[in-house]
Amino acid sequence: MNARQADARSAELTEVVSFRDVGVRYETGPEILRDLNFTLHRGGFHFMTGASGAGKSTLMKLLYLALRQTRGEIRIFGRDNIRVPREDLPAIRRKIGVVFQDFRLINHLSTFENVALPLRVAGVDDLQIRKNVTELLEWVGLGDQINAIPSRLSGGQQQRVAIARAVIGRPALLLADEPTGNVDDRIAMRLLYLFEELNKLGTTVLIATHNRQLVRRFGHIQWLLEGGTVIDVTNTNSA
Amino acid sequence: MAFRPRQSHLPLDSDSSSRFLPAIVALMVALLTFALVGLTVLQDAVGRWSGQIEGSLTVQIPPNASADLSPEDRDHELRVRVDEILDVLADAPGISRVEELSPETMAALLEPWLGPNEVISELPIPRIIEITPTTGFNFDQLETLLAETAPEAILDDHRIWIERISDVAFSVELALITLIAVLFGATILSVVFATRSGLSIHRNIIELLHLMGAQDTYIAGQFARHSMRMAFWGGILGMGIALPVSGLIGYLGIRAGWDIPGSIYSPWFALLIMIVPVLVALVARITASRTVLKVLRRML
Repeated sequence: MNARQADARSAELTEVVSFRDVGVRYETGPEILRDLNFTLHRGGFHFMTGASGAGKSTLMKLLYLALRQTRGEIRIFGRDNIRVPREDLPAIRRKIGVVFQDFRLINHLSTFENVALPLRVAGVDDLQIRKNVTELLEWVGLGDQINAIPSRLSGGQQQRVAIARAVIGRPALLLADEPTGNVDDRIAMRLLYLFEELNKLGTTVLIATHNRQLVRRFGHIQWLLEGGTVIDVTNTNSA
Repeated sequence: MAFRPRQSHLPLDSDSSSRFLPAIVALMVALLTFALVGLTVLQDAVGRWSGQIEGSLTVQIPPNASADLSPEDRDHELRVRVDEILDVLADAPGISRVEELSPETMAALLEPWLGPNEVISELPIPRIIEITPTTGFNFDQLETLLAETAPEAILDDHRIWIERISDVAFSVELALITLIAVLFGATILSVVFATRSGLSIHRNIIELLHLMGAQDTYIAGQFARHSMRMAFWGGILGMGIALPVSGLIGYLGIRAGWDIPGSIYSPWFALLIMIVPVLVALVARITASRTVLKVLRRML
């Protein structure tokens, strides 16, 4: 292996996600996302802002493998998302934690079981699940709601359950769609600190948000999704 | 700290299928049990009838029909021929018992059709000799022997009756086996329908489980366990209906003089009946699992 190949291999190892000329359209409609070219490296922390309807949720869907692009190439953890065999998808998805904008909590399950879900499907033993879930629920301030069902929780509490579920498996890639939309500033800061802690442990974080104030306060890479494509505005906003 | 027991990720118990599947399975298992009881009774009865007929042959010696003979002469002539045939049969190989039916026995057998003994004694009734064959018996050899001694004698091995009984029994058996197959088929279709309905109702949770990294087999397992449980309890309910009804029919049958076959009371038959709900539950489990896997293969 020569030096150039070694550099390419090293870059590939640190690349968590890479998009090359990616475009998405629904059926015969216009392209919602076009010419997306970006890379998320291991340990990166990105904020993504954009107007409503800019395609943030569609981009998130591409990232958590709920949608396929209509053109271009997406590589996630070094695997081409189109060519990866179906039976390999669960293993890739277990490395991704997702906070959905609408939370997507399971209403008949307790707070504890909702948070434990990624560990259950991964086959983690009960003792470990009990320890980790209890600890995390205490941390997000829901220690007293462990047996509550989601419909009994406030919007902010549901959001924290959704976040706890996304991070419980220590994902390599954390995707959060408006994770602080329903919580007050104090809780929002606390949750962002949680994401930062995970980031320090090597998790790549991408947060889609409207909260520009929060974005500025944390000073990470800032992307603007506009006109169906991603623009890096980190330096523009810092200036 | 109190933890609730681990729950299924899919709220399948609250689906409408959780109410109709056990009811459908109960009906199917009840019908299956009736069919199995019917099949067993039929097989046993046919076996007994065939055994009784196969175990004996008859030689029929018709009386001389000549109008010139008086009844006494005709009886005497017939007696002589019967004795000759009895002598031949006594020396024939492969025969363990030879018994001539007495005129009184013949009259008793014919009484329902021909009236009282006095009338029958006036009629030219053939004589019947019953033969019980044993090892070394040869039908063709005996037929040749009788043809030489008494060409007018008719050797009857009841083959026509056995064939007719076998044909009827085979048709009924085939119908019952078809019914059992149809009932299993209907149970499978019910499970497929209930599973597909569940997949449609819980599509959102299934998508979520997929996004969390759940394998198809993990999701299929939840449906399989649920269907197995529903089918098992449905099966128990169906058996709970069918057994007392079968017992009641049997009791009324005994009172009416039916001959209830002993195989119904055997431990093997009890085991066969007990296996039905378990078998149906296993079929439901496999069906649900395969249905889910087939549908999920089409999802991303």
